[in-house]
Amino acid sequence: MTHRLSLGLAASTLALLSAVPALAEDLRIYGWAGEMPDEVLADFEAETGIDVTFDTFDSNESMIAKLDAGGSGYDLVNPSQYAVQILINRGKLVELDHSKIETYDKIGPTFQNVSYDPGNKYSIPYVWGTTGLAYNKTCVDAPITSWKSLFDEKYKGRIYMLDNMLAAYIAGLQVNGFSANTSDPAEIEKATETLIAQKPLLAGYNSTNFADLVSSGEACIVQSWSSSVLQAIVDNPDVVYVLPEEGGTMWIDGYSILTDAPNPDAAYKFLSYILRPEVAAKTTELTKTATVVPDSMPLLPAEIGENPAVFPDEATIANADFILDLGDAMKFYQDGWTKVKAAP
Amino acid sequence: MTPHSGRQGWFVRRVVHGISGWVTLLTYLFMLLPIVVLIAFAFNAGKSTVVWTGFSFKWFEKVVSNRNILDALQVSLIVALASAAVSTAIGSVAAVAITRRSFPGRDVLGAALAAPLVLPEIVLGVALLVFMSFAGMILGYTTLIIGHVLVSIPFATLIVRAAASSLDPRLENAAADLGANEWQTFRMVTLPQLMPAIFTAFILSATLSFDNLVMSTFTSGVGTTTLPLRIYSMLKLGITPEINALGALMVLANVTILLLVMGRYLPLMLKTNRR
Repeated sequence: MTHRLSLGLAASTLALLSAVPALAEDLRIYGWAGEMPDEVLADFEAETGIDVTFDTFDSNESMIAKLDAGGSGYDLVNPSQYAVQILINRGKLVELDHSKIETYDKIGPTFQNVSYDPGNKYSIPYVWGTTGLAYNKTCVDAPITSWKSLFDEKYKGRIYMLDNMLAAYIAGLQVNGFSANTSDPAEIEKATETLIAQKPLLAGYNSTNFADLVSSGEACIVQSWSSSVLQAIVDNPDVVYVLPEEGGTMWIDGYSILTDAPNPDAAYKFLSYILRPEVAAKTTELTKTATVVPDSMPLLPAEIGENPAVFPDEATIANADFILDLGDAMKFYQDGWTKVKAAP
Repeated sequence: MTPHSGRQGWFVRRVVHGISGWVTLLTYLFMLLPIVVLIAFAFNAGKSTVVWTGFSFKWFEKVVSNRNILDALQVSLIVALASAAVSTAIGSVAAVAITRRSFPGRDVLGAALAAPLVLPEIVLGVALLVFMSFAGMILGYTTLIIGHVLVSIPFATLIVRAAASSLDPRLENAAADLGANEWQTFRMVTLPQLMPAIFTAFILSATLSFDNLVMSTFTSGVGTTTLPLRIYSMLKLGITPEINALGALMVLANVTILLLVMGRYLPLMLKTNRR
């Protein structure tokens, strides 16, 4: 027994030793799972000889908590738009030198000047999508165009909302005619009441397999992220994704270099690499998510490149809000969301 | 007591008996059915985890060729073995000291070792992260293992303590009478009797570490994403049967280890208990 224990110890010590990084050039990225294909990372490694470590986080909030403590050891981080603002305010991101990003001009004009980071001073947008709704054609009489359908008695028990505070409030606020970014306590309160009143109609909150549920017809209408529902649309022509007429929202996950990055040069090389049209096209094809590189669209198969669920037209997205850092108003959202979750 | 109430008593006993059988059955169903469903959908040919479209092994192929999952599995195994070894070692020595010796501060030490049990893990995790960055430690294997030791040490200590307190002190006295010194007594008399408990503590600590999500969220660093962290971050894109396949493999691995352990140590434990 003691023998076996010491064997186990020896094995783990060995493994620990082998985990010490080699002398080759390293790039450490902290990002969302599934938004950067392994193939792209492997190609980058093969081309540059840089060793990439890609760790994943589950939410902007836990990523920020980790970076806040300092000394995380990462070079590049992959925050969503409002998280970029938070990280800028906390002094975690370096001001980017655009001249070091060879392919910077490949970024589409709409993404060169985003409201949360004017002039892309601290972040390079990369993949983006929208928050809207998806429905199954077989169980509705007419095309769905508005958030109102999520609050319609007719679909009682066959509606799912995203299990995510900010996402749920998008629908709750916009259906009342408010901005999805409001910091007015009265408006947030009204949205909270709307969401509480909606609860008896819901089959549940779900942000994991709602695409499955709407495809199988178990759910009729679901609040949805565009990227999550795309596979279901390709597999099942009855599934439709729409941005509601109230606007919906748009999200962008981009890349930023950390102030304590051990290897910023490799980070710039990586940014230059992923913005190449052929690499961006590969990313879109494998992750079914749009990138900010318009030149990649002609390189894509038509069912993706010309799919309005992946690449909605300019007019549609002009209407969509960005979810921004709500600062102190976040408290009202959290209080409201607690009430919504506790309501019958 | 009238004969009538006697018959009634018999009836009540029958009903209670019947109900308890049903309750047991339902409890087992409640516990095991989700796992059965999980394993069944690992063999689904489609992408869905709710609609059955046909039989296929493709998700198992996908899992075993997924570099990210294999890397995370390796991290989890290393951390589980290392942290279980450390917390079992510390826990066992502390348990023996607390039950066998009397020294100032003994009760305080006993309580302190159980403290992580009552503190919410998320509080421990945040506090540890802040402390580690204050101390200038780089997040990675070391911090992850320290965090997991903190989570599993109360369990390791409690298990070994329970076993140590039921040991017969006369055996140690006899060893001393026969000329064994303190170290020999510990190694040849006390330790062998505690071995099944120590092994249980090791297995439990390793399992706790392998499943841990909260502590790992705060203490993992570059290149040390554990398997639960990886799975949790995959949820954003929706669940595919790949996760089911992974779950099925983990259940298989756990059951195998459990059977091996039971086969090897059950007779030994029974023997110890009889004494």
